[in-house]
Amino acid sequence: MAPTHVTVFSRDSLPEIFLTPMFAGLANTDVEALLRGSRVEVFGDRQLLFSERDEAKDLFLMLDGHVEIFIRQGRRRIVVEVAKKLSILGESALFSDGRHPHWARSVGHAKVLTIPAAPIIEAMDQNFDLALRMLRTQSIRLRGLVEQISRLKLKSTAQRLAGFLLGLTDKNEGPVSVRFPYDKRLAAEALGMTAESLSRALTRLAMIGVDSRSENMVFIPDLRALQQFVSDEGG
Amino acid sequence: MALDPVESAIVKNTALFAVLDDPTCAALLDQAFVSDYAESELLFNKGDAADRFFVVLAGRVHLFALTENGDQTIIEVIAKGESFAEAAIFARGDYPLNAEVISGTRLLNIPAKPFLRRVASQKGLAAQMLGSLARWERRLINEIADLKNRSPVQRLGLFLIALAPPGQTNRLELHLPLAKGNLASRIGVTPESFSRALKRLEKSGVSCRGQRFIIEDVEALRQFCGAD
Repeated sequence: MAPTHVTVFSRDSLPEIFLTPMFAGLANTDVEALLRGSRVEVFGDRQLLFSERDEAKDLFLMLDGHVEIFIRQGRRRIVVEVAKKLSILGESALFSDGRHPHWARSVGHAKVLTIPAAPIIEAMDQNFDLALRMLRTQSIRLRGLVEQISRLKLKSTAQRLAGFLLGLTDKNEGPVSVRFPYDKRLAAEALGMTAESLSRALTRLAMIGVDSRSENMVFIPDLRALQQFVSDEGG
Repeated sequence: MALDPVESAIVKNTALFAVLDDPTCAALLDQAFVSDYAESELLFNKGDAADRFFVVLAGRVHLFALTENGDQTIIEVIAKGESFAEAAIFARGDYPLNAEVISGTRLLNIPAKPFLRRVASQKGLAAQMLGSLARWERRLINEIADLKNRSPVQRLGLFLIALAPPGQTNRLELHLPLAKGNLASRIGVTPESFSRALKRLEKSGVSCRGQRFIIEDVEALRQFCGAD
């Protein structure tokens, strides 16, 4: 499916890219060479960025919005995760069989920097620093997946939901209001629970003061207390 | 570096090393060494220069942050067979968290400098490692999908299995660290479907009295739940 809007990339407009492990601290000239032919693409709701088995020609750096990563098992569609701003998608395919191992579809809307892979692969041969950046990016990603697996095995639905809510703020302590970034059904899928389990988990969190309000807002009176709840053995 | 065959297999079954051939692994691990911890102790502090990364050969490691009051918040638990701190090595930076080794842990220490020198000098090795990580990513994604795709019965079974000592295959008695009602919410089911799940597990040789569970055949339960 084609994006609804495409513009040619210009570096000045995107200081965000320097916040990713892949590009942080690189010289401007290097970044320009690596991003040769890149374009900014805007996707509306539920547009496919790529499908499983598609040939991988580009990397996708998320600039805004959300993209759900899913695979299919039989007839079921299983959401592995929902990628947000500054995530990089599609790079693992470049180093295996060249084909995407999953689907990627926009949720609500998504603005991505689409980066042709060829100049990056080419540069990696000469540029060890770039190879290290890719290794680092991938290591962090894998660590995140391993964490998700251990949470699925050992944490309660309420703890998983609490962890998700904590991820919606940059703050570490005090009170905070957060908003579900997409509908609760998708949040439930990404957390590996049913929509009913998610509302029960919210009720459970209400016991420690977490207050669900209208328009998908959630008030957390004490971030530290919620962090403690997530790391507790019981729950 | 003195690793027994079982330990070598553990290292060769980590994300970074999985697709590399034996001579390449040996060269990368040239300066690696093993350390044992009889007691729990601090391994490194947040902000220390990241001069090595690790593979857990036995035991486990807690990565934690400190609150202003000096309390530990455990961010990650690294289990046997997993590597950690490699991202810090690739960044040539500092450790982003504190690490504590738990008593009885055995670690393979892989010093950063010789490791990175080797990766830099052998053409194509970085790309191979990226291939290894990519393959690993697929494996993890499939595992996540499997977990999310399981029935309440299987999730309950998996939770019990996760509490079993590694390598345990036959009969096992477990004392649950939490009450049954909590267990239901932990695995994300209503009390009603939890009771149904328990009944169905009885057919697979799992019985339960209060917080005490008896699993007649751990391996059979593992297969029933579709665990690896």
